[in-house]
Order: sequence, then structure tokens, then C-alpha cells
Amino acid sequence: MIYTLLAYGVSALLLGLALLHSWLDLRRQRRLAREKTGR
Amino acid sequence: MSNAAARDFYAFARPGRAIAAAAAASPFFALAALFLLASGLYLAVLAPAEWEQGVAVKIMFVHVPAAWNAMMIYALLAFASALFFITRAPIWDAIAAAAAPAGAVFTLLALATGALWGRPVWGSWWVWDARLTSVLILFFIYLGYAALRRAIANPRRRAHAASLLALAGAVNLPVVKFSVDWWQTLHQPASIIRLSGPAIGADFLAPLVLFLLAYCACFALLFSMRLEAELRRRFIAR
Repeated sequence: MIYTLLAYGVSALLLGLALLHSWLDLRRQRRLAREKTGR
Repeated sequence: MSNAAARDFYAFARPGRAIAAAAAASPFFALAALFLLASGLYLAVLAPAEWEQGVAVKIMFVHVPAAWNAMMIYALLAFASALFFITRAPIWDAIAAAAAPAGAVFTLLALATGALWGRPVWGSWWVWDARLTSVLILFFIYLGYAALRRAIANPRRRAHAASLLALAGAVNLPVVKFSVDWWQTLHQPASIIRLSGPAIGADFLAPLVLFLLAYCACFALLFSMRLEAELRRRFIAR
């Protein structure tokens, strides 16, 4: 049971971190684009 | 329009549309991923325990789709790299650059959940059999690809070298897929994608398919966000 819970936990953690990292990078690029174009 | 301006226009006209498309698609992929993950998890909880493995069999639902995605994403990476190599259109390099990190994540996911499945079922976190080793090599290829992209500052040289590495690494893809047929492995042979049909019951197949679709939606979301960021980075850097 513990291995199954760990596998689901690790999957959620890794996917969550990857999505968070991508989202933060995208937000930064959008902000930089806005600052550059002044819009 | 001067020659240089025309070249810039044609080089980035399509990426401009790609930015808009990726930005519009991301919320839909996020909703689809949430819905599919929730339904997959619900069916995974309802799925029966297996007589030999117990509840450890449910690790299959997060392990197998991760491994499939790792391979499908590498196929996309190699395809985009081949098209970049032929056409030299920057959009294909951006697509390859956006896909690679997601591929590395799914490969790591397959390796980690595989170790957590191997411990209770095989009695070992890791064995050096052909399937596990070839997937580990796939992970190192993804890492090497990311390192190469970071190591070269010149965008043209970076795109050229990265596409070559991605194409060379594609040799490993059939090795991963057929390793269980070509060599004696502790890892089981294919039991879902077979000419004679899947060898597992509907109770297990339904959550497996839902998790596969959920992981595909997660990849689509990761890819669309990374592609938009990558294209914006290229616009700003100019």
C-alpha cells in the first residue's frame, strides 16, 4: 500500500512541479513582452 | 520591404500565430487534464487488487502511461528536429525545444514509479535489464539535449547541434520498445499494445486509458506553455 501511495504522490509532485515551473516561466515571458512593447 | 525585413517577417510570421494559438489552447488543455486525472484516479481507486501483487498493481496506471508519453514525446522531438534539419524553419526548433523538458519529466516519472513498483513486486528497486537500462539512457539523452541547448549561445549553431543530437538519439527509441522481445528481461513484455489484443481486463484497462489521456493532456498543457514562452523569448531576445 505504501509503495502505491508513494508512486501516486511522486507522480503528482513531479507533474505539479513541471507545470508550476512552465507556468512561472510563461508568466515572466509575458511580462517581459508587455514591458518591451509597452502594452 | 528590404531583404532582411522580408526574411524576418517570413521567419516569424508563423511563430506569431503559434503564440496566439498556444495561449488560446492552454486553458482547454488544463481543464481536460483536470477532468481526466480526476476520472482516472476515481477508476483507479475502484479497480480491484490483483491476487499476486495486491494494490501495488495500481502503480501500473501512473507508470505505463508515463513510459508511453516519454517515448511519444521523443518521437515528436525527433520528428520536429528532422523537419528543422530539412527546412531550417525556426518554428520546428522551437517545437523541439518546448517538447524536450516535458519528455524528460515523463521519463523520470516512469523511472521513479517503476522503481516503486519493482520494490514490492520484484524485491528490488532497480535491475540492469535491457528495458530499464534503455529507458535510463533515454533520460540521459533528454538531459544531454537540455545541456547542449544551454551550452551553445549562437541560436543557429544551437538549433543545428540540438537537431543532430535529437536525431542520433532516436536510435534508442526502437531499443526501448523492443528490448523486452530482443533480450531476456525481468521487465514484462508488452501486454496492452499487442496484435492479439490487450492481455488485461476492463477493470484495469479503463483507468489505464484515462490516465494515458490525462498524461497526454498534461503534456499538451506543458508543451503549449513552453512553446509560447520559447517563442516570446526569441522575440524579446531580438
